[in-house]
Amino acid sequence: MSIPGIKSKPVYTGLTPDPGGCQHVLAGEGPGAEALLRLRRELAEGNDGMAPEASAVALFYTAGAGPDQGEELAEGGRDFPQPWRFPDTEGLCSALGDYLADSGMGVRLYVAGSEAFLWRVVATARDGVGISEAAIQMERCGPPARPVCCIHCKTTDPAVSTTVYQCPGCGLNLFVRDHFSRRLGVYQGVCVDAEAPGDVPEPEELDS
Amino acid sequence: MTMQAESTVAEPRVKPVETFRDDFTYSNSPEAIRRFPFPFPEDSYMYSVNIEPHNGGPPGSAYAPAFDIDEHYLSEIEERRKVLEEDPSRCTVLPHMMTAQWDTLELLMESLSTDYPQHFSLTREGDRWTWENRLLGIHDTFTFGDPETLPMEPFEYITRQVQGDFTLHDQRDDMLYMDGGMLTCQADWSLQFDLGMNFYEWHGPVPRAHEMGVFDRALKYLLNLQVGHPVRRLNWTMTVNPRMDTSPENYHKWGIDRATVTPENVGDKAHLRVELQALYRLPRSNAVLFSIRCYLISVNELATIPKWAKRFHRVLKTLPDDLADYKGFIDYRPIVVEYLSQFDDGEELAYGAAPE
Ligand code: HEM
Repeated sequence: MSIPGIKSKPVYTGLTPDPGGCQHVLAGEGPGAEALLRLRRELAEGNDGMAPEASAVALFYTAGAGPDQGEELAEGGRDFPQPWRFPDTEGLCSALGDYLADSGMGVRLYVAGSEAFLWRVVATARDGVGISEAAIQMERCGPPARPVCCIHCKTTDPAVSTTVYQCPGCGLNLFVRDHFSRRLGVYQGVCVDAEAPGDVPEPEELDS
Repeated sequence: MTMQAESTVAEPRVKPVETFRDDFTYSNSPEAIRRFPFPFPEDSYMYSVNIEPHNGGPPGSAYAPAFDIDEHYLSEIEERRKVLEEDPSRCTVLPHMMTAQWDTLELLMESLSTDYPQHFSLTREGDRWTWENRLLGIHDTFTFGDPETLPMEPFEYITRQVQGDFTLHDQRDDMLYMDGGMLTCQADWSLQFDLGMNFYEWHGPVPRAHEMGVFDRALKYLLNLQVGHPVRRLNWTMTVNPRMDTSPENYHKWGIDRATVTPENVGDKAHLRVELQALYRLPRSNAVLFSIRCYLISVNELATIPKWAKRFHRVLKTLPDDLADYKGFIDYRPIVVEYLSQFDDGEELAYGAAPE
């Protein structure tokens, strides 16, 4: 029932060092730590010996729903400053927003974590600080759960893993569309049995 | 009412308020039926870059004025008021679009007072503007450019007084963005959700047209839109009951209508929904204003024009399933096609969408 290839659905690529950046800010959640470790290694190696100063790299991390890989991040990067670790995404974003507000031109933001985390961080940087999406890279890590907003009652569930799920706000059974709003950082959930009340299909795992 | 010899627009006889919900008292007069913007010049339909200059049309037709005012004016204004009362976010404009808001107000006031001097007038003394809308009993003086002098922001103020939905588009880096709108009679898409999206993103759910290159060419065309040279196109779908507010927000309330179509009631219940869409480049902001004027006609009303009944029968019957599915009528289409077949003798029809 999902419409294949809806053009608003984001395509996530891996994180790669942006040689145009002079300040590199890494933000990760849970299993996103691995992507950040890889990126930090690549930053250290540098492109053609153009490795950034260790002080030009900052790392923000929260375990989120887990696993907590904060220790690995702390060990993995001797020459870089220690990661800042936060108990939750809100705390991370608040500190990240302050940090970015003081950063100059040429800042590059790399984000790794669940899809809800990615867009929460984008909102902080883009809407809060005015950093353009072109300066932000994202890598989606962990299970393919999606942030979905109920079009009827506007409640967002940050981690929906099946299409057809029950809205925690209004209780309607929602079909998850591939239509995605970058402004809101959510997919659209639409009542699945509006035309045949009670006829709710079996939930199917979302695989992307 | 004075008839001006040179007038090419309708002299709308505005009806008292009819409803687009609950008891659905909306209907079209014979004159309204004849001027319905029937969208099918041929026996089949497929997406295309169907854009043409919006430079008038036959006297009295929906294409003649810049913004068409018809017999349903009061009803549609009242329906908009109700929708906004329930959900004020149906009118949202992003903060950087204030200049475009004033551009919109100017364009609509100028066009309406030129096309319908009996109903609307605009007097300007420098920045002091006086706007009179005699259909709604509005008489306001304000300072152009100063939002404090209007009861609400200029875009909402004026689009509450005009039939049809409107969206506002900033143009940046060769792209159009959905940066505002007034959306109370939409065909199943959400302004709140699509706000901020680019041209390709908000068209994301449309089947086929991306692959056909329709959106690449349409966007290129729109990016070069010039002030004073608006363009237009028609879009269409079907709606059960004359319901204006077929928003996704309320789909859990109106979706059930689609299950109520029967061979007995289809003629009155099923409606052809046509959007006359026009696009204007705005002079100060360089933004684009998109107007989506929605017309509803029941299958029985449409069938009073024999050529249209035959044509619509053939178009519906041959419409590819993916389009019928996207447009939301694939389940009750067979009932409509069967009903319309009684009007279709198979006669060869001349090219064109006119009633004869
Ligand atoms: C700024 C101008 C325009 C705006 C704001 C706009 C907006 C929209 C929206 C919101 C939809 C519904 C998408 C959904 O399902 O969520 C749509 C559908 C569509 N649009 Fe546009 N559009 C514009 C210009 C155009 C142009 C110039 C074309 C020319 C070919 C076009 C072709 C289409 C088509 C073919 C559909 C599918 C309609 C259907 O099958 O019912 N649009 N448009």
